Amino acid sequence: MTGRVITVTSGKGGVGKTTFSANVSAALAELGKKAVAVDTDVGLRNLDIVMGLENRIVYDLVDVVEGRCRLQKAIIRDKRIATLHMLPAAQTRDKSAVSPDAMEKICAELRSQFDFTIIDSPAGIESGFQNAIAGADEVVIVTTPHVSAIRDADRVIGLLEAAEKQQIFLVINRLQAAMVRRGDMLDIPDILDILAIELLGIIPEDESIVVSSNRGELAALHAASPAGQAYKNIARRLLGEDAPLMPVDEDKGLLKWLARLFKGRAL
Amino acid sequence: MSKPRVKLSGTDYGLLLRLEWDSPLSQLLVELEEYLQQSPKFFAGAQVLLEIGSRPVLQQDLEQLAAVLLRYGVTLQGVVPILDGLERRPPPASYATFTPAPLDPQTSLHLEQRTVRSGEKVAADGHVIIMGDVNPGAEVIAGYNIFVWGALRGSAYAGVPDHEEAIIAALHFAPIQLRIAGHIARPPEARPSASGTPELARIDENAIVVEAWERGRGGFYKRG
Repeated sequence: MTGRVITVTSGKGGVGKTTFSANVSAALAELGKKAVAVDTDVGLRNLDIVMGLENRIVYDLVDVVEGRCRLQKAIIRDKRIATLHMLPAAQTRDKSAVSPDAMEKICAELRSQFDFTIIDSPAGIESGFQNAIAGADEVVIVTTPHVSAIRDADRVIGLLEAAEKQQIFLVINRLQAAMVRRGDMLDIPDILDILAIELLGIIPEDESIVVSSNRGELAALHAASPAGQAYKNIARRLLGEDAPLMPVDEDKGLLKWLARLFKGRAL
Repeated sequence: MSKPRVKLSGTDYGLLLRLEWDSPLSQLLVELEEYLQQSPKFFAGAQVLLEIGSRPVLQQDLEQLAAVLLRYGVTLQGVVPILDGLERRPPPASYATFTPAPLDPQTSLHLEQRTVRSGEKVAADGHVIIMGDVNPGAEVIAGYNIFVWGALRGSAYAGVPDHEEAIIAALHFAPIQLRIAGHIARPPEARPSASGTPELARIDENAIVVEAWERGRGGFYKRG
């Protein structure tokens, strides 16, 4: 098997990388793909909490890197979806416990066993970021419609281009329909104009995400959540299907506005 | 960041400059500049050999490297093949040497065909042309003129250090900050977003002014 290794990063913290990684991994798994979500935020691990797998951790990424266990043993299999897996970060160590070389080796092994390896990276552009991108075939940049998040995303894209990563995609998270209509939020065309990379999806602001993340439930597995729907669409777009960039909900005004926006755009 | 792409080490026959040649030259130039900036006094007056291995190197690339070195008082003595393990021995007798002619910054041109993103810096002694955008948080620095064939949304410093006749021009002119020679300007808060026509900034009576680029006026800017 030759799977795809996709790193999720942003530069800025708190934009939704971990929630994205957890939910897109779950959505891919639900579509029948064998998926593993990897937490590289050594020292500040969160992915296990969002995925509701915290109490099942025995070994972690650093144990694998330092040879205390085989990769197989550290990977946790989700009980809700048989094809969903997670590789947790260590909580009691720091970023220096992992190196880009070690990550490349682990990614090569995961690539041979999983259809999709989704790597959740820490915030920042230091060693943790370098570790997270070392083995990536593709990179997803998560940003919110805030000037500071977009500035950091641009910085990260520059670093990825310097590292010769060719496939870089953009996800705009936490878009507020009402604010967009009032013109209070940064325009999507403006964001695309500056970042100039391919748009993979738009995720609407969704309060239920807070609740599901706190409970370790995955929104992508619930039909009712608009954000969950967006994660599912992104998973389908990753598989090359023609899913909408923005989920259909009761908000027809926003939908019309988006339709206008993307008219004539090759997306 | 990753390992340094620029390294100067002492050998028995002088300073040896090693570059990570797989990186783009623009990046190497910026990092070399940063390296030299750390201790300018230490390097002033030094002579260096450049390690190029067996790869072909363009004369214009060598000239650009030599120009950066020269700015810190460092002379490029010549080029040598890979010297790994030879540090404590004399250099091979057959190595080729090359002494670049001094570069005239007023006629040299640095072309960058990409989007310069936040945190990136493009710097050259002569004129700089960017084919692409200059994003917010990016810097372009030139000894003479700067042309952006795209959107200028970052910072541009032309005429460094004291060429007052330098101009900054862009198709879409929306910089965060401009500097020409010793003058600094930022767009007024109330300025509507860029007009949609190409514009340029120049010094007029000791202040930076921004105006539309008019066809047929090119010669007017050829001053000094």
